[in-house]
Amino acid sequence: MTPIRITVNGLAHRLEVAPDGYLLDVLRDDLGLTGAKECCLEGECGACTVLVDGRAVNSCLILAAEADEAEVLTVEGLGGEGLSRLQVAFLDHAAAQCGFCIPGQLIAAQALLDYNQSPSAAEIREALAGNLCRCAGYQQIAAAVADAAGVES
Amino acid sequence: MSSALDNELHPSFDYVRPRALADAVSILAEEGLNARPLAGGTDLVVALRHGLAHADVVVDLKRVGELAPGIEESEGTLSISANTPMTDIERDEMVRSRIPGLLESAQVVGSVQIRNRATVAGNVCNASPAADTPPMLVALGASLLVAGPDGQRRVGIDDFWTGYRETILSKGDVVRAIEIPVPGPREGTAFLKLGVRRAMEISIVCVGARVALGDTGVISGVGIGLGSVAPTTVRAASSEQLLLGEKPSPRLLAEAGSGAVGACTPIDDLRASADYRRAMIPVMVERALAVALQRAGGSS
Repeated sequence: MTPIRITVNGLAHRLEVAPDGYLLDVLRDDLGLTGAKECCLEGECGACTVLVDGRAVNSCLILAAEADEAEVLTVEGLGGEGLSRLQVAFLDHAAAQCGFCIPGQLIAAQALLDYNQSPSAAEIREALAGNLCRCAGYQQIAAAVADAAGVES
Repeated sequence: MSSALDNELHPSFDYVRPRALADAVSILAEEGLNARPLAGGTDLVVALRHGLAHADVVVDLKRVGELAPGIEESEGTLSISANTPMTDIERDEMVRSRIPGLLESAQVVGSVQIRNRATVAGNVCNASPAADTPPMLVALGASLLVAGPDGQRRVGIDDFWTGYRETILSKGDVVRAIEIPVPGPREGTAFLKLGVRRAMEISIVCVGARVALGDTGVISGVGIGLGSVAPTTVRAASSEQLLLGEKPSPRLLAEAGSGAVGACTPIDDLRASADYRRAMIPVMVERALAVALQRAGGSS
């Protein structure tokens, strides 16, 4: 087992992880944060997206041991007391259908808005291109992100 | 898929994280040990998960000081250190303003999530013939700084790949940086990728092109690299020869496009037929050359 220190949604943890264990599994199984979803396990779908040190990544492709000393943000940490502006916009636009991809969509969108406060419609689509939605709710998702950013969709 | 308990009891590989390049090299060089270097992990981790790659130990290079992310220019050479993710290439001012072809090849890799992890060095070492940045690196005449058990050496990109997913790297070798001659003011670069969608796409054909113009308006330097058309990324050397010293014209660029097919040995696969690839190579090469030429300040 490999000892790691990891900060998730502002809380510091000391954990023992398997050398071949994945960040996604640590978040879901060890820390009980089941927002990030297990789906394709090869970086295609984006359902497992979290922020690691401020950047959106596929947590299924990161060994837990690699995340030693990392700051991680999952969908559970997105809001403060209530929902974040982005989350409210997703609700307003009915952007969640089955909901499975939404934690990843939200985190990918948050990463975009952290870096670019006034994204164009093309930049929004590009930022979310690594997040599949099998309900094909892309229009509503992109509209929600544009709304949260206060730009035209 | 094994359970978490299985993993705890019987990990399929061990994990080490050296801080110094010399330590990474010596672990990777150890006789009888199947040690695999890990950079961004977007290829290796997928392969490990699906049993397509095996390792006794995964050597995480991300904390190796000498490989820390960085893009620096010195005396006309841009050096991209091994741990630099694609995202940093996309955001780099020098790359954006002076090497748009490199920007274009980096920004079509996978998705944002992939580009936040995947490195250019990893893209080169993974040695997939369908990789996006290698054709541009061929066009740019890049070289690789390789550290190994016997010290450090430079390898030209044309000498790096020896076959399908094979490279000249031997046990203990680590690519330390990629070095690119910075294009001059009358030198243009372009990268084009043919696929059926924009993101998370593996190309049917991809082309990197570089064109430099001399004082008299003739082509004084040129590079053409192609991906997804052969067991390795290839250079269209005969097309380069055809262009060198000539005044650009639409007919010349079309001839260079047609000439590039000879450098390629495409196959049928699930993305396209060999015939379709052969038909698209001239089109893509001609277009990439035209964009590079325009960026060099010329016209055909």
